[in-house]
Amino acid sequence: MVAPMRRHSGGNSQGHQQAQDGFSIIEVMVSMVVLTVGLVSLLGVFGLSMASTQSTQQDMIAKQLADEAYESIVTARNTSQITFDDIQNVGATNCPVTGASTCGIFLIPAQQIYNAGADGIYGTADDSASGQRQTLHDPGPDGIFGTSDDVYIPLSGYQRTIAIGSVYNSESQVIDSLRSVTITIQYTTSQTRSQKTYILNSYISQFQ
Amino acid sequence: MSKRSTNRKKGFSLLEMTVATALGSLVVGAAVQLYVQGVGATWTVSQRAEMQQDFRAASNMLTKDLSLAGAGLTQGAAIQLPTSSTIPVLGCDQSKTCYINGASVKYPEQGSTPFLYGLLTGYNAGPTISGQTTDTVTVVYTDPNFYLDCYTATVASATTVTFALPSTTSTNCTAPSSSKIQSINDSAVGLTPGDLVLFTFGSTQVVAEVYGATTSSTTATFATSDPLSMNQGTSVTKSLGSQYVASPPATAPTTGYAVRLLVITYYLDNSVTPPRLMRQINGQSPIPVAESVVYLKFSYDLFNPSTNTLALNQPNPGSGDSSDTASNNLLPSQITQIHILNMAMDSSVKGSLYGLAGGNQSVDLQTTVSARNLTYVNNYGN
Repeated sequence: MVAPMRRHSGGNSQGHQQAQDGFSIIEVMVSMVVLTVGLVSLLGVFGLSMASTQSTQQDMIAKQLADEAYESIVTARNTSQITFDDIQNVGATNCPVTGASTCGIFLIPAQQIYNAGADGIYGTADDSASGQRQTLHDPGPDGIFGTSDDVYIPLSGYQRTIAIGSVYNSESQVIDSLRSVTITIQYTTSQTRSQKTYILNSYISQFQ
Repeated sequence: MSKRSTNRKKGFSLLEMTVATALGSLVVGAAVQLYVQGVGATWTVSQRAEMQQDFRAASNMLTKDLSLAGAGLTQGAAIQLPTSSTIPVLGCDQSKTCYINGASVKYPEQGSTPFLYGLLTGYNAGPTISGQTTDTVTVVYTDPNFYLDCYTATVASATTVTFALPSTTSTNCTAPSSSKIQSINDSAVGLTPGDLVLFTFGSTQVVAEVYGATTSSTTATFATSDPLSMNQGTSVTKSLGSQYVASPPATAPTTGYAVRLLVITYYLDNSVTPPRLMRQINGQSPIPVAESVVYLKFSYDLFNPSTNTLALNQPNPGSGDSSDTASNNLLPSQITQIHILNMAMDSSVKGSLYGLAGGNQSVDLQTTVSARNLTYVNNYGN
């Protein structure tokens, strides 16, 4: 960092010119400031990469939240604990199995992430009634699960929407034995504060 | 003297040099510090990314296996095993080394009769890690890649079965075309010692373990004293030997078909540090799935078809434990949902090395898997 000096290069008579070749202390200090600003800006890159790694974790949680909701719908269909009519959003009017005027158990607006409630199915009215939010179970400062310092982090930054729609055949008639399932998870990443969305599209058939 | 005064104008004074050097070393020091932190952060981030990748691969494998539980089984995914003083076990390999806490694991019993179900729970059956007990889980499904079901299986003696391809394709055959049917001793997928085979002779199902003489292109051997104790004497019901000697043949036919079973157990292996997640199939040696998996816990939802009620979040279903009373008298084959309560992985790098607040980096999974194949077999599998 010390400015080059050509003191050894020649005789005394060249002295004046050499002094003008070097940097002044002001120049050196300015260059240092510029260099520092440049280096500090690099710090941001590390922060960004940490943030993106962290958001990968949140992406994974979002995927699991979508998966588990779909899995619980499949389970409910398989066990026949609810009719296929009920595998619709609340207030659906197409109820061929029971002939009721309205059917469907999946709540329409985006829901906070609660445990599944008494029916074992996510996204239904008994979820919030149980009042139990789904949590992330972290081992706490000692790094060991199952001890008293475990941390349960509620998934408060996440919301889940289950939308169940009709599927139409080539003649635009509703297929009663098949429905489309769209599960949307909206979440805010903690670092960048940006809203992200994970969407799972699938189908559910009346038949196993 | 005149030289000196000229020189003074040319260069820096000692004071200037000192100040410049001090400032310079401050900046260089800061830059070095920044660099060190940067290297640390890069290492941490790449470690974390790699850990997430490993974890995703392991959890995908586990969830896929769980959702396949019971696939291809019949008779309600509950198969009676040979019943004698020698009890069929799981979790051991051909050298008779047993892996789950260093011991063999018995199959669950109805009365005193052992049964193989599409899913076997292992509440607190795994090793204790950092003072915490862990669970194991065993899933059972039929091997979809080996078209053993296309062969006609004939019990040729108490310990051998011959396999022959019928002239017209069997209705049990799942091969897409006859050219895809592998030979019995195929080097890639054929029968090897330790494989479990589920035979269906009329209405009788028998499980046997390939053991003893090498499998030829037509004959497999199921000698007694096998590591998993599936092959038992001719006097033991539900054994291959008893099927051979039973009479009359009309009720105990010796000709039927076979499928290879996959009895897959996931458990944590704490014989290494840090512990790792292992996957052990039939009587084969276990294979590590992921390093540094430190916690594994499950709970299960069951459905009681006679009362039409659910038994939710049962960690040890059917045990009669106080937290599991809702699942009393229910069988593991009536499990409808599997909750992975927690599967956690620690990275091998201590966070404290990089200025983080102690502990390791960790990543964990909590999710739910539908036992869709199990419920299917339970509903329709007869």
